[in-house]
Formats: sequence, C-alpha cells, structure tokens
Amino acid sequence: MIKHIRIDNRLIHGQVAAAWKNNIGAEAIIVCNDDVAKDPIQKMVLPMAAQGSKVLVYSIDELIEYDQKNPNETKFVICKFASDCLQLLEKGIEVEEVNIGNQAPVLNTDYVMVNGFVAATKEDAITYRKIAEYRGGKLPCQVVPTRPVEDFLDLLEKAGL
Amino acid sequence: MVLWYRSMKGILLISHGEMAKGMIDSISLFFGDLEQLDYLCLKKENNPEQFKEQMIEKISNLDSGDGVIILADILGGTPCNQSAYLAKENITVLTGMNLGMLISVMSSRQGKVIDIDMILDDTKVGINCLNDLLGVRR
Repeated sequence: MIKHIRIDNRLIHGQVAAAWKNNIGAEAIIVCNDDVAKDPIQKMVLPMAAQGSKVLVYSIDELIEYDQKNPNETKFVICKFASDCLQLLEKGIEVEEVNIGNQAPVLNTDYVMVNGFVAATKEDAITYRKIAEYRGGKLPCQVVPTRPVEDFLDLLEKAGL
Repeated sequence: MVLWYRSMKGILLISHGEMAKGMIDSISLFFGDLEQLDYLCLKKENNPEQFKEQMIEKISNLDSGDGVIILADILGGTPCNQSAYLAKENITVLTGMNLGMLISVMSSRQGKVIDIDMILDDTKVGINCLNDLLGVRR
C-alpha cells in the first residue's frame, strides 16, 4: 500500500526524509524515477540520507511490480518529477496522498517559481492538473510536515500557469 | 639557492543554504591564511545537477595538484550526494561538517600527509554534552 507520493527533484535530502517518514508512518521509502534507478551513485548514496530506514530506488515499472508483490507494506514514494507520479497513476497505482515538495528549476527551461520551493513550466502545469484529476481535483503542496499546506492548483493559477 | 614550493590540498565547504559561507567567516577568527579555501551553497533555486557542475568548477580552481578535501554539511543531503560523483583518490569528502572539523582539516593540511582518520576522531571528540563533562545534571 502506498501511503504517500511526494514529488521532489532533490529526492531524499537530509532529515526531510526522516521527518516525512515518521509523519507518514511508512515502513519503506522508495525513490521512483527511471533515470535515478539506473544511476549506481544515486543508488548508493540515497539510502545514506535515511539510515536505519529501508530505502529502495526503483524505476516506475519496478515500483509497480514491487507494490503488487508486497501489498501490505506501507510505502512512502518519492518521485523526482511530476511526470513520474502521473505515470504511476496512469498505470493504476493506488495511493492515499499525493504531495508536491521541492522542484528546483531545470536550467534552460521557461519556468516560474510558484512559491519559494517549486518551479514549474507550462508543460509541468498540464502534468500537475492531470495528476489532480486522479485526486478528485485536489493537489496539496507542503515542503515539510511543520509548514502549512498550500493548494497547488491555486498556486499554479496565481503564477499564471 | 633553495626554493620552497609549498603545495597544499584545497578545501571546499558545501552546504544547504549559507552554512558553508558562514563557516568561512567563523574560521577567519582562527586562521589568517585562507588560501585554497572556498565554499558552495545550495540554494532553493539550484537543482542537484547544476550544483554538481558548480562543484566541479570550484574543485578545479582549488586543486593545485595535491587534491581537495570537501566538507559536506550532512550525510545524505543533496550537496553530499552530488559530491559522491566526484569522490576518488585525493578528492576526499567528509560529512557532518562543523567548525571543529574545519579547524582540524586546516591545521593538518599544513603537514605533508593528511590523516583523515585523525581528523574524524578529533571532530567526534568535539561532539559532547558539556553538562556531562562538568558533572552537572542534564
């Protein structure tokens, strides 16, 4: 069972992962992105960020397979990009919560900072709205558990995206 | 005539936000000579790949042939994780940066051989509960 998907292009960083994991109460942290899953350095260093926790680094298809084989394990999934999350939803993954974390801007893209932590392009906005369709029209944005939850669709609109 | 060429390891401090920059300010109270010492701060608007590129540039400027020691603020954070691509012989990454660690690195790089184990031990000794050392209740 996937309890929470976080979209964050810094993946597991420092104690943020631990803060969320405890808050969510998940047994495993799974980083999900096809490129990261092929990167031997990232596969080695990402688990270091959350020592003492079970950390897996999977491609989208690997995650789906793992979830099917281990349906009872509670999972906290971190997707690098919104497109990873959308693919999971399109492939029928069930999840209790989807949350937007950090999205640092990608160089040479036409991005807008929608709040202090999330950069988005027009194409990203389309992806986020598609995700929201799977989520009953709602999409929260919360960087760390102690900060207030923002309505991400509102933020996109205010940013003119 | 004898010419002395002193070759020295470079030091690069990397952190989330401005901690690394602040470390330079703090260490200037202990050392006058801040040669071959630089910092790189990960900002909210930096993506990890961009940070790595900036780090490569800093290292090439700091390395005078003896390599570079990188001090990263936290094990498993983005600065540390990006430095993992650069770690090799003579590009040494230490994590859990603090002032004691930096003092230890600055002092030992003046010698010919840098003993990384000794630096780590020194640093860990500095992490303590002062109440316990004083025999005062916590």
